[in-house]
Amino acid sequence: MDLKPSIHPLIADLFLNTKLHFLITNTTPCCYPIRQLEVRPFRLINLLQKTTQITILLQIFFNYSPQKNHLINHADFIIRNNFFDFSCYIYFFCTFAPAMKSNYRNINKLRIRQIGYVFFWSLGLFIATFYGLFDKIEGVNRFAFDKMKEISALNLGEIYLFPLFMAMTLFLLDFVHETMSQGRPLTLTFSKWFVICFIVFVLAVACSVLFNNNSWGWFFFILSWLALSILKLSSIVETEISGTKIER
Amino acid sequence: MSPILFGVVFGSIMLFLIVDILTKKAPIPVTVSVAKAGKVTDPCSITESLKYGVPQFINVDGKRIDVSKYVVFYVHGESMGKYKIHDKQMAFVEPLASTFEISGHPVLVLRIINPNDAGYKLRKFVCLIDSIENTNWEDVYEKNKDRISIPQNDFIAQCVKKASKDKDCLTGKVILSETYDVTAKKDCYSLHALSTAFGTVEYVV
Repeated sequence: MDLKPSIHPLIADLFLNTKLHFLITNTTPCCYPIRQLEVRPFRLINLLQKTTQITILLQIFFNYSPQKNHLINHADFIIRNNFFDFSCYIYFFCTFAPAMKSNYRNINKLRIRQIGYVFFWSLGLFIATFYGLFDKIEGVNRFAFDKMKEISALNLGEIYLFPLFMAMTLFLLDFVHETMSQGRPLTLTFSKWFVICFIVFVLAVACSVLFNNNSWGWFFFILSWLALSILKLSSIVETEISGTKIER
Repeated sequence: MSPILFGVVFGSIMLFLIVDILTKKAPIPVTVSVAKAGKVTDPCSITESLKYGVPQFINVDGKRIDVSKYVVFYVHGESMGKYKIHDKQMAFVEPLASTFEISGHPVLVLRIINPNDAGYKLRKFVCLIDSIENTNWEDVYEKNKDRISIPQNDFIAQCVKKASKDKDCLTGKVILSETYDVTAKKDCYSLHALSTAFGTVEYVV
C-alpha cells in the first residue's frame, strides 16, 4: 500500500499536526490541567486555543476538515482523519474530565481524575500521532507495524516518528513556558522519561522493520506508552491546590 | 498479540505504576486542630488527621502563595459560609503577634474557654469594645450598623444576655463578633475576651 500522500508529506504533516500540537500542548496546559476552565488573563495563545477548539468542534460535529477537501481520494489520509476524529473525542474527555476546581474537600476525586486524565492523554497522543495503529484492509486486521516494512526509511521517519517527536517536544516546551510564567521552580527531573519514551519508541519501529515477528515491536511500543504516561503524570501530580483569600 | 490481551496487560501494568507513583509522592499525614464554625456545643473531634498533608503552596487567582508560615486548622461547620469558609476545609491562620493588631474585619480564630472537644472557634470580627461595663449598646449598634444585620432590639438583647452570662471572663477589652446560626437561620452576635483571640484566617482550601 502506498502511504505517500498526494501532496508533500511534510506540508501535509504540518497541516494535520498544527491542530494536533495545539490540541496536545496549548489546549491542555500540562502544569495545571485542573484549572483549564478557570478564568485566565487574555493572551494571544488563548485566542489560538479557542480557534483550535472551534476547528476541532467543526470537524467532529460537521465532519468538516480543510485537508480532507484536498486529500479526499487518498486512503491513507482518510484513515488518518478517522483516527484523528477519534483522538479528538479522547481529547475532549481529557479536557473536561479534569476540569474541577481543586480544594481539600475534593482532593480524592481530583486524584482519580488525574489518573483518568493521564491515561486518556497518553492514549490520545499515541492514536493521534501513531495513526494507522489499527487498520482493517481487505477484511484483515493490519497494524501500523505491518506497514512499516513496506515504506522507505525517510517516509518511516516522517510518518511515524516525526509527529510524536514534535508533539512531545512541544509538550516539554509548553511545560517550561507555563512553569516559568507561573513563577514556579522549574524541575525537569521527569524529562528523563521524555528521552526514554522516544528511544523506546524508535526501538519499537526499528524492531518492526528488522524482525519478521512483531512481538518485539509491540513490547517496546507498550514500554514507550508507559514512559509517556509516567512523563505526563510526573508533570501534573504536584498540581497546586486552588485556594481562596478571605477578605477583611 | 490479541488486542484484548494487549489491553489487559497494558492496563494492569499502567495501573500498578500509577498507583506506585502516587503512593511514593503521597504526602505524610498531618494532624491539625479543629476550629468550630458553628455552635460551641456541637460535638466534633479535637483534632483531624489530614491524610494528604498540608500544601506548602496554594494557587490563589493564578498567583502562587507560600502558606508554610501559617497555622492550619480544619473547619467544622458551615456558619462562616457567608465569608467563603466552608465545612471540612483547611484554614490557614496568621497568629496574632499582639492582641491589638486586628485591622479591618477579619474572620478570627478564638480559643474556647473550657472546651468539651475542639479548642477553637471561628467568628467574624465586628469591633472592639473597651469594656462591657457601662457600655451603651445602642451606641455600639449605631457605630457598627453597617456590619450588623439584625434589628437593634435583638442585638442589644443578645449582647446584654452574653455580657451578664460571661461577666467574669469578659474583663478588659472585648471582641464583638458575628456568627451564623445554621439551625435558626439568622446572624448572632457574641462577646469574647480579647485574650482569647488566636489569629486571623487568611486563606482556605
